[in-house]
Parts: sequence; structure tokens; C-alpha cells
Amino acid sequence: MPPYVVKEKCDGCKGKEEPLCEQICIGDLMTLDAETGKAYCRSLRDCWDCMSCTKLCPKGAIEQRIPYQLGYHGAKLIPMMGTDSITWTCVDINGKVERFAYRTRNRK
Amino acid sequence: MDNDIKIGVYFCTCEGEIEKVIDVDSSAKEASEWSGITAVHKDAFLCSNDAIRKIRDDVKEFGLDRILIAACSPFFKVEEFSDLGINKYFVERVNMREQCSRVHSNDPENAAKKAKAMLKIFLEKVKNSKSLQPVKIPVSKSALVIGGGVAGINASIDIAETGNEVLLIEKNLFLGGKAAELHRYFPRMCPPSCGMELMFSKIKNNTNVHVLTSAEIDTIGGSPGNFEVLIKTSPRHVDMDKCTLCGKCLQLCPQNAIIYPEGFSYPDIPAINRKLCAAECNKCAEICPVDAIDLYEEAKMSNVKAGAIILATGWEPFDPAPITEFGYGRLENVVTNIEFERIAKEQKTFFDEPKKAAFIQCVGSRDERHLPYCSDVCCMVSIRQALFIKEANPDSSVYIFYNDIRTPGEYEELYRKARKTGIIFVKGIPSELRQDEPQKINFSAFDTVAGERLDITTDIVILATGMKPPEGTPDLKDKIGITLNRNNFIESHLQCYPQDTQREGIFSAGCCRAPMDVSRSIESAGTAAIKTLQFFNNRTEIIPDHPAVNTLKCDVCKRCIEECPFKAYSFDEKGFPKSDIMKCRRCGVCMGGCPLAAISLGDISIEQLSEMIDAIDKSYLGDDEPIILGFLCKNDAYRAADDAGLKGIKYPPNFLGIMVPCAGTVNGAIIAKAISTGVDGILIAGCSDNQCHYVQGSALAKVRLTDISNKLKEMYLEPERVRFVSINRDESEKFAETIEGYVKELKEMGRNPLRI
Repeated sequence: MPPYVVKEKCDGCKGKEEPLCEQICIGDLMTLDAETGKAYCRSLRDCWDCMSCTKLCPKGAIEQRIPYQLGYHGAKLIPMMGTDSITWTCVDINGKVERFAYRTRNRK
Repeated sequence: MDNDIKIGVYFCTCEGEIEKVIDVDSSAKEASEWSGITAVHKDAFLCSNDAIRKIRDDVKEFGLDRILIAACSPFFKVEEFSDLGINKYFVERVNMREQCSRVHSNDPENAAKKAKAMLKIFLEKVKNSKSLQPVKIPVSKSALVIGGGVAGINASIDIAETGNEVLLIEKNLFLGGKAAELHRYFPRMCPPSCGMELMFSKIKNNTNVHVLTSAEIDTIGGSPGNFEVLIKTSPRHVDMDKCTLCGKCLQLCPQNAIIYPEGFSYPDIPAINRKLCAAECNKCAEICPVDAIDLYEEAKMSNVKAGAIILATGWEPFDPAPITEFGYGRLENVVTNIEFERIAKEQKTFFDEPKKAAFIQCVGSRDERHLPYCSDVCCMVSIRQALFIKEANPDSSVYIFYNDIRTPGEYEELYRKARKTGIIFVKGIPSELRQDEPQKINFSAFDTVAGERLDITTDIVILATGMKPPEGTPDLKDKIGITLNRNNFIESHLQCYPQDTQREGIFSAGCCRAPMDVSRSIESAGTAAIKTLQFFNNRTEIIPDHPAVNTLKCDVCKRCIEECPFKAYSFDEKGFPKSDIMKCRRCGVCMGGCPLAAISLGDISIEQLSEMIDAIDKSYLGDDEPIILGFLCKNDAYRAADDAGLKGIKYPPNFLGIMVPCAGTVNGAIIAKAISTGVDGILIAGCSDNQCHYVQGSALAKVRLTDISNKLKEMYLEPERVRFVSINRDESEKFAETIEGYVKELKEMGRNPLRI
């Protein structure tokens, strides 16, 4: 299932030529709506759910709808990126919350 | 990180001041066991000459690479610790006194724990610091002054008389600007010719001043210290060096196309208005005995180098035509104050017989539809002009219709004089102006003080119109990249740096910044000149602590370019953003905004902050006590925290403070890291919005924190774990209360589930 952009949060990465989600997307699916200046996914069925855009978005404006094979409606997967850490919050369909914090190697 | 780094840790007991709360001996003993610590020393006065000498000796003896000084606030004893024999960016201060011992003297046990935590944090900071050497950047010590009015002329003279070169450019044919058009200045009622003549002679006699008239800025490039300016000069058609002012052309010209300098003018050389010339007429050029006239002269472009720029583009009078009820342009004898000035100066016959005159104040001013501000001078101008009429003919009757009369300071004397002379002040603005009989103006007004209606017939109505920024200001804004305030005047930090625009090396003087009278214009010109000279002086050696972009990480999203309050960023030759060392003011707003945390200031980097967070022992007060990591803005909050220390205001030891240049410096990734490593609360303390020294640092910090607290909400964590608070320099009590309240809240919230 594709990423969902919260329009109120997205600021089009200010520079407005190529937002970060567009740059990071391996499928080149994300792009800016020229009219609203907000990002959107232009081909929903091609998304691989890699969540790169979700992780990168500086405004936290991209939410990932988890594929039903992994978790049905209500389940959520939320990343938070630190300088050299990532914290995953996993919410299952019953609302059970689990968090996993990892050290990453993306500092340099 | 290099493991072979040798660090010296120096403790100050401050003659028992610190020691009476914290057991410095045991701290020192503990520190000496940490890896990398080569030398540990304790002194009663670390700032004394002996102690400094000891540190310098240690540097030599042990070959210390980094020094950590656990003493008073880094704002004290700066000079003493500035030269310890190693690069001063390798020396870090731990604020043991103001932010630990003095504020936690009621809780020595926990104070010692906090001291240890602080030492560990700053140890990490100093380990990861970089050596910074000043670089020399040649600054062109010549100034460009744009606008040849009273402010521009004065600024030019001030700079030139200190021995620096100045280029003064004016778009009109002659210098003098609006002030030269006046009849008299208040409060002394001198004619402008008097002061102007002196200024012009100073300009003439000073070889450092170069004047270009009928010149305008085409483009401005380069960077502060070395601006490259392209100036377009429209033709004057008269050669300034050759003309002898014989006046032959003037007598001959059939079209009155020769603009001849009047009385006092600079330059005192005529000009030719080619628009009035008859086709094929070449008479003036033929008669000129010195061959000074070239009717086919073309506009010239010239390239100029300037170290700094002073904007003195002045003002324009407000056009009252849109206010239809006053009938300006429709009714005869309704004039503006500027037009009346010309009447006073040129039509002496006007004053021959007694007149009935009415002044209407605040025409367009203090009106949201036109000029929302007070133009500062109109009240004095009207009183002065009323006095012209009254003093010429004491039988004249003069009314001034006003909302409020504003004559601050010395000008009150003018108001008093006007009342004594018998000028009638009416609080109430007239309604529609009519012309019931020729040459007269009729109108009614309601005197709100007397509570009665007045029906008045006058010979002349003078509209006191205000000042507005010149038409070309937005264009200038685009060319130079300065910012304008909501009234289109040039913006500055009014209180602290009134003369600085938001661009380095560009200053403003006179009415282009705000409406001013002549005396204040001259004052502001002096300040702008001083600022320019300071800029020339201070910019010869620069510490490269400006932000650097890690090009391995940068994705060229351009957020830094957009958010930089001083437009210091541009793309380098490889296409990455790069900040101009001369334009940058080291606020770090770019560092805070970078989504990839790829930007670091020279003296506090993302990596340092990240390591510092790792170094925090999240349970330094025990498992159940929350800890708060605070990022305190250098200008206000950190100093307020120091003040709390000096005053001995107590707050819980759960707070660890780190100084940052601005609230906007703190990157979201740093906060995310702190939260995910178990810090319970993040407090960012900066100035209040309109007081931020870096314009939008606080505002951006708030926006970024909102994003993070939204994220925390999604993560089913308490969004209150991150918080922005504005603390002014003098709000040390508020600072202590904030921390106390926050600790209480965090205790209720329970510990951060991510703390291990």
C-alpha cells in the first residue's frame, strides 16, 4: 500500500524543485503537485513500501499504509530518525504498541 | 574519534564556592580514571595567573590536545582562558558554578551527580571539536552610498573624513534630495541652503568622496567586503570637467531644455533634458565655447567594487488623491504640505495679505487603508508651516485639524509657541471639502473637545501627508536581497542594530528605514557610517566557524537556502549549497533545518551534539527521576540560566543545559536521538519571536518542534516531551519555574519508555 501525504504537514521541501521524497524514492514515484506545492505518489500500485520517503520526510508528513499481509487496518509502522539512530514504533490491529530503537551507521 | 587524544581536566573550586556543594576532589579523582584523561588539576582560582601558567605548562609537558575547564559560566573570564597554548576551540568550559553548584546548593548529593554527568557530556564535546584558524579575507575599504539626500551626504562625509573612499550615487541630477526642497527646517527654522552648502563644500574638498549623479544600481554581485556593483549612469549631456557655467546655452535654448543649477547645488553644472529638445536642434552644442555639450551622449555602465553599502534611498510623499473627500487634485487651493513648502519658498506674494488657512493632519497616515504608521514629522511640519503664515501676517487665522498632536521631546516647544501665536488647534478631522465660492474652500468639522460643529471657509487647505518608501524599494530589495517590513521600509533589528539590514555589509540610513526628520536622518547617517567602518575593521580576520555542508549527505533540497535569514547560501561549483563566510552570522538556523543533518557549525557540530547525547547517563539521578536536556540560546536563555545561578535561584538538578547559538540551531534528528536514547524531556529555550536576533530562529524552532511532537503523538508517546519556551535575558525566575514545572509534569508522565 502506498504512502499517504498529510497535506497540512507537507511543505514541499521549500526548494520546490525536487523534494526529498522524490529524490529518495527508488521507483521515482513521489513528486510535487505543481498547483498545491505538496508531494504526492503518482503511481500508487508501483510502490514497494520501502518507507524511505516516510523515514526521510523532515516534516513527518508521510504516513505509510501497511500492506494487509502484514497488518490489517489499524496497524501502523512509524519510524523516527535520529542522527545515528532509528526508532520504530509498531502498532498492531489491537492497538498494542511496541518500540524498537536501533543504532544506524548513517552518521558520516 | 581518535583514541590517542590527551585531555586535561581542570577544576576550579572558586575559593570554596563550588566546593561547598560539590566534592571537587572526588570528582577529580573519578575523572582521572576516565580514558583519555592525561592531566587533572584542581585550583582555588583557576583564573589566576599561576593556575593559567600551570595549564600552559601542562599543555607543553603532557602534550595535551584538549582542555576541559570545570569552573564558572563560559561568559565569565573569557579573556583569561582564551590563550592556553592550544587552539581556543580545543578548550571547553563546563558551567560548574552558575548552572550546577549555585542552583543546586540545597541538594549537594544530586548536584555532584549532575556535575559528573555534565563533565561527561562536555568531555565528549571537546573530544570531537575541531581546530579553527582565523582566515584573512581582503576587504575593499571603500563604501558605496546609494542616495544623495541629507542622510546619504552625511554618511559619505563621515566615512570619507576617516580616510576611506566613498562613492555616492544619486538618481537625480543634483544632490540634496527632499531636504533641499524645504523652506526651513524645524526646530531652529534654518534654511536648508545653510547646512547643505557646508556639506557640498566638504564633498567638493574631500578627494575621498566620488559623486555620480543620474546614476542607478543595475546589479549587485560579490559578497560583503567585496561587492561588485554595476552602475548605470544616464547622460547629462554636459561635460562636468569642461563646463564653465558661462550660461550661454541657457539664454539660447528655445525649448527651456537646459536645467541650470540654482543657488546652491551640487554638482553646479547644468544638464540637458533631451525630451524637451527640438529635433535636429544643435544650437547649444554649437555655441558652447568650451565644447562641453554632447547631445548624443549615451548611458554608461560602470563596474565598481565596494566593501560595504549604505542605503539612503529616502522617501516619497504620500499622494492624497485616493482620499477623495479632501478633493486633492479636484479642488483648487487644496495642496499637500510638500507643495506648500514650495509656496513658502518661492511665492513670497502668498504671504502679502492675511490668509485663512486650514491644515488637516494625518492625511492617509495611521490609516490601515493607506499608511498604517505615523510619519513622525507631519505635526511639526504643519505647526512650522502654520507659523510661516501667522508670523508673516499676525491677522491670518490658521486652523490645525488633528487626531493627536505628536511633538516629542524638544519639539513640544514648537507646539507651545504655536498655541501662543494664536494658531487654533481643533481635535477632529473635517468631512468633505467643497468649493461653494471661487478661490475658497468650505467644510465642516466636529470639534470633539468643545463638542460643537464648526463651519469653516478658508483660502487654502494644506493636507499633512506622510512619508512612504520610494517606489523603487521592492526592486532594490530584489537586487540586494534585503528584507522589508510590512510598510515596505527597510527592516532591521530596531533595538539592537537599527542600522544593520538583514544582509551583512549593507546598512541603512535615513528615511528608507523609517520616517524621520532631518536631525534624526543625520544621526542615523552617522551611525550607519560608524557601522560601515566597524565592518571594514572587524572583517579582516575571520574565524571559519560558519556552517559547512557535508556534501556526502546533502541531497540539495535547498531548505537551507530558503530558511537562511541572511541569504548567505548559494550553490557552489559542484551544485551543493555553500554559505558565504562574509554573509553568514553563525546562527545555525540551517543546521537546525537540514532534514539530513548534513550541516554543522564550526564550533558546534551535529556529530558533537550526537556524541554528547550518547554520553548522557540517562539515569544519573536514579531510574525514577526524569531528566531534561535543554538547548539554551546563547543570547537570552543561557544568560538567564546564568543569572539564576548568580542570584542563587534553585531548580531541580534534573536539567542539563547545552548552549546553542540560537533556538533554531537544534536539529530534529538531535531531538529524535535524545528521545530514542531515553531522555525524558527536551527543552528548547530561545528568545520570544520578535526578539530573535536571527530574525526567525525561534519561530522555526517552534515549527520544527511541533513536527516532532506530532511524530511523538503518532508513536503513542507524550507530545509534551519536547517543548519550546521563550525566555528573555532577564527572566531567570521564569527559567527556574519552567524547569521545576517541567520536571513535575515529566514525573507524572512517567519515564521515557525508550530509556533502557
